[in-house]
Amino acid sequence: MKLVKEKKIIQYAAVFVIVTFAYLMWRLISPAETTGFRVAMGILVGLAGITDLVLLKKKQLTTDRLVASIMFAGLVMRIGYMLYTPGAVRSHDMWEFEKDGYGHAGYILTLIEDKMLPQTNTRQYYQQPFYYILSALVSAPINSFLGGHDNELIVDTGKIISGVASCIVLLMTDSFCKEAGLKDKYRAAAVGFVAFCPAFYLSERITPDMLCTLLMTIALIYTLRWYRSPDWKNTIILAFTYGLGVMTKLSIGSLAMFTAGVFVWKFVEAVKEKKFGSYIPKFIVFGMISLPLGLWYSVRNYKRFDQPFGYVLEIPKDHSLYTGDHSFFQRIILPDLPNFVTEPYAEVFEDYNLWTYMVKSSLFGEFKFEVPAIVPVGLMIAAIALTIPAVTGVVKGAFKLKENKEQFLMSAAVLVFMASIVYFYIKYPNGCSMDFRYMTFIVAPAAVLAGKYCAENGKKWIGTLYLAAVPVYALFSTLMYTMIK
Amino acid sequence: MTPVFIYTIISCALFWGIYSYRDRHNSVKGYSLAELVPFYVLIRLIPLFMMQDRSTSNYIALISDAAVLAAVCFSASGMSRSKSIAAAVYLFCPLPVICMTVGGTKMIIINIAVTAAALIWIGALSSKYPLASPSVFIGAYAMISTGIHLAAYSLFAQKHSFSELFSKEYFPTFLVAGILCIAAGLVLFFVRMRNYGKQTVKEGKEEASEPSLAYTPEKFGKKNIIHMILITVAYAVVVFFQLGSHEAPETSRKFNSNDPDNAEIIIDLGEYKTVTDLQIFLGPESLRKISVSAYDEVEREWKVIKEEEELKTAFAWNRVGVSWSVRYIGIVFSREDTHFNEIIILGENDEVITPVNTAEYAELFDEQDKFPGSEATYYYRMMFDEIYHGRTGYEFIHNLPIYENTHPPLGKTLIGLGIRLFGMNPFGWRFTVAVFGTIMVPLMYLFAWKISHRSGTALTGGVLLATECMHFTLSRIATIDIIVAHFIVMMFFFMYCFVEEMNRNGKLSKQLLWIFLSGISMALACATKWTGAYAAAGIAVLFFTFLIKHCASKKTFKESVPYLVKLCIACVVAFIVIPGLTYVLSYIEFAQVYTDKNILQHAIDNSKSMYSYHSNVTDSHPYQSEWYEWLTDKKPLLDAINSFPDDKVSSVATFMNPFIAFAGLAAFFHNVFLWRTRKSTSAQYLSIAYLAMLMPWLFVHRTVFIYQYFGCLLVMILLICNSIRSMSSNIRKKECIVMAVSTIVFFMFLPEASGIAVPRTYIKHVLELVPTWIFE
Repeated sequence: MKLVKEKKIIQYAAVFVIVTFAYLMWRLISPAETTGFRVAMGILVGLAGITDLVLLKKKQLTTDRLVASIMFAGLVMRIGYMLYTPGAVRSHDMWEFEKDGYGHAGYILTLIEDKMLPQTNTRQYYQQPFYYILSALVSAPINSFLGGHDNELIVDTGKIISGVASCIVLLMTDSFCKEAGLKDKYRAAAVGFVAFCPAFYLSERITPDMLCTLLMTIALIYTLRWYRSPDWKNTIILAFTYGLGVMTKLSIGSLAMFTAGVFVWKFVEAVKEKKFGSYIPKFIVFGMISLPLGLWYSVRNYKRFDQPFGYVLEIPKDHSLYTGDHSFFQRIILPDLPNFVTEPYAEVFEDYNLWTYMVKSSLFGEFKFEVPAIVPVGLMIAAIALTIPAVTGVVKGAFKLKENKEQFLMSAAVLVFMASIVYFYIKYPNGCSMDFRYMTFIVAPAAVLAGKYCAENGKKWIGTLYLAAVPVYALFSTLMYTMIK
Repeated sequence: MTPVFIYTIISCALFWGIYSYRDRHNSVKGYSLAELVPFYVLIRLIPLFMMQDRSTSNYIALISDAAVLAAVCFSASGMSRSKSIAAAVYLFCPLPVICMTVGGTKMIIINIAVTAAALIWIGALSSKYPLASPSVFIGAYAMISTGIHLAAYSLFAQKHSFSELFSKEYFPTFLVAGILCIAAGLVLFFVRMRNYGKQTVKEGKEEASEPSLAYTPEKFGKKNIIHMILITVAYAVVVFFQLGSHEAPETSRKFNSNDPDNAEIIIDLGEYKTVTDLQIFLGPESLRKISVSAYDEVEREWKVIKEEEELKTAFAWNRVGVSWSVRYIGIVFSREDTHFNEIIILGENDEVITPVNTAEYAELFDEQDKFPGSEATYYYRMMFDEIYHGRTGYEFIHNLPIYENTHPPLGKTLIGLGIRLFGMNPFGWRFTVAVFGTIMVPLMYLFAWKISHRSGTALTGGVLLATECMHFTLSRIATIDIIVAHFIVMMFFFMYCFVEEMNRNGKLSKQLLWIFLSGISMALACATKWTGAYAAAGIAVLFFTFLIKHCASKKTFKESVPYLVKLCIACVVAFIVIPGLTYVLSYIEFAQVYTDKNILQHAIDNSKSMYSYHSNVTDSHPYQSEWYEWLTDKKPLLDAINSFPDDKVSSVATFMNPFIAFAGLAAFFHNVFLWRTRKSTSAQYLSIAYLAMLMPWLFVHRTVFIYQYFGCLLVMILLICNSIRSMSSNIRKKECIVMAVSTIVFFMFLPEASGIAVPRTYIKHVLELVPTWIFE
């Protein structure tokens, strides 16, 4: 297989081993104070930067070396954050750390203790099970090896799955660059954008979001490959990716619309050329793999609990998270620029503008941190600066239908996904609907598209902005997430 | 401080944008004194005088800055480029502006030190690389300047400090942004330094002349007349639709607290009835206090239900809540002159109760059918400043004591014409303004045609005005703003005709005709509202700018002398004598009512009192806004609002069509660009007109509202038209898109501009674009 030939799968397996090993070491040492560890993280990232500068001075810095050092720094930040942040800190919907807690924690504990799926769909138990199954599969042996019986620690081990997913997405960004034909400095900038995007650290928590992001990333890469070469291998990988993706989180369905569009497009082209015969069995096999794999849990819950397909927990209108009392224009059409000036952190109970909240929550989630103001504000300004080439790249890419199909398809994927986010926010106007943890998938393709646009318009100011903003972003991101506790 | 910073950043951005464009095209040849002097005024004197409080240190900073400017010019005189460029570059650097506005020795020293260092460095560079151009540093310079500006804004306007960079509670966003910009500028600077000297100076190019038109100029013909009639009629239909009720209680009775026969009313309902409300339609006076009592037949005494209740609004229904079971109602007046036009007594379920003794107070109960119900919308009553202008229009007709004297009288005299025709009812008092608003549409069409000689552009101008929300609202509210705006547009239009005629050396008689018409318009504008005088200042700037340009094109000054003499005489008559006479004559009603003074004394005394009043209006108001907030249509003014039980809301607001507001702002920048880079006369004329209408508000520190931007808004419509017609291709397509978008946005916001009741959810979820837009 090509994947094995390229040693990609080995790279990903190595990441899993490294992350698991690091976690085991951390648990064995169990440091009471993390300051030294965070300083060490900073030093490692700094060393990577200094090495690059030295190589640059000696004129020995190649793009591959630069990308490798950025990836190293990105992995340090990801693994480091995962280790020093306990599962219960900056978490979402964990609820009680017990079997019948009905949160993410309870889900994993139920799987480990009962060795069966939850027998109710109360609160978070309505969620698709793949992430929780993987977490349980990793947690059970590790915790029996470590001899841990603390429910909090048993659940905490689930971070490994999110952490590994986050690291693999970083490695895959370079695959995106290759798919899009992005080279040289903009390739490094794109990888840098993803490497230091705090959303990837923050999502290393006990939720299915990062695993879903990984599966979406794989789905996009293989949709692009399938468009170029609609063979059995790509079809089956796509089918499994979507099957497992839906088994992780239903939101991957919005990307499935994009893939379906590519299927239809390719099929129509084939019909015009009267060569469509080979497509039909592939579509049938795709459906036979992905549909049962993805939907069995939804069918089970529908039959058992009458839970509708696409069910999410609804928040009442009188809840303080409700944002529907602001106009459509205020919430969705234009970014709320004055909000950026007020403070860098997102206010889940106060904010209502999707775009502003997206930028802020991509940096800090729903949380506030006790760090000097210059760091979060600097990080926010760098993120705003990066948003300009990213948005331009995505929008411009959508007009590349004739010149560059890969670029067009990547843009289309991001736009389809964002359209679903906007639809979701219109349908569920709550502060938490705007959280970037549901949208982390867009970072890698947007970073690559930004690079692609800048590479094609290199002399314009936007290219300079992109190249200048990434190091600033990296600096503040590193400072931010080595200073917090 | 905030307005100064906003003004400075806009001015510098405009200068640097145009400079870098011209530099890229290698066409910066230098600046004449005629350009540098206005630059100095724009970027030094205006910011200084915009500040509400100035101290000696500001003036010292201004003087030291002038010395530095002189040093810059002196040092640059030996360089390859003109010293005028160095002067302009220095002028549009934000650091000296900040030094001047902040004042203080430290700031002055910083400015001198930084400028001296820059000069020494440039001097060293020039001697080392005589062929290289320092303009490669413009990007770095702009970045560093932006950084300085942002940081200074944070430090001096927002009162942040450097220590807050390390705070965990305060977020000095602009300070951090400023520091990052300065750092980026320095990095860029060092990158440029590495390559400096490797490039050579390119030869300067000739400045582009006025661009050739992408269309053939047309003649005004039948098609244009049909256009004008169609848009005017269409606009009139929308404006006059539900303009206001034709009926309002008109017969009145005067009460006087000092006259025992007329100091109270006793209403007999015939039997005990539950009264919930009294609705009283006041006559020409507002703020009248009354006490309402009920007669207790058991204890044989009057019991006070409402004491000293204030009836606020003249010519409107004023509600007095009673909720009492009563047979006899007594109303006692606290003021000498109180006119009641009608009283409605409401019982349970809002049914109207008719007293048995109506014959005793016939005028108060003879127009009961004119009561519109408890929720009287704008349609039945006065709204916002109508209570001043509409009411005074009525007072002028009836020679009553004059209530509103904070604006010259002509506008109210004109409003009075409608009242004479249709009576003292909402339609009557709004009729004149609706007519003025309507006839402004063909006027705008003509103006747009004049600047373009193109039907499409003229139609765009007409349609944009007809779909402008603020123009529409002001056409339906009896205030003087639309009247003065109409005269201002006329003034600018006739002046443009003069400039055009002069530029093509047309007949003198024709030129003088335009001058006189412009003068008459100016006279009418100034006699309506003092904002006419602001526009007159703009007219003066335009007149002299184009006159100097015209005379400069002659071979000798002598050649122009006879022409200038005739023009001078005409101007004195048109712009001094006629406006002066008109202004004084507009006080005729004052002289009729108050016979103790002659008309001239009235004009002078009232002008003094007006000045004093307007200088001291500083009370805060929920809808007040600053000039820089007008640019982005930030805060609408709510004129009237009524909520209905079926969750519908009728509200009338003054705000700009957001599309025109933003397109107009962009068009202004584009027109300045056209003026400076392509020498477009129309762009120059319109840009100066816009600035002339806006600039005075930069120095005004009283309470102001968005409608004060209306004059600028009208010019913005012309700026949009001029921008589109200056484009090289697809002009018609662009015009169609602009007209279509403006029309869609207008109809979307029509309920808010007109008072049509719409569901609250529509307002909340669709119309309230930003949090400061509150319509319900």
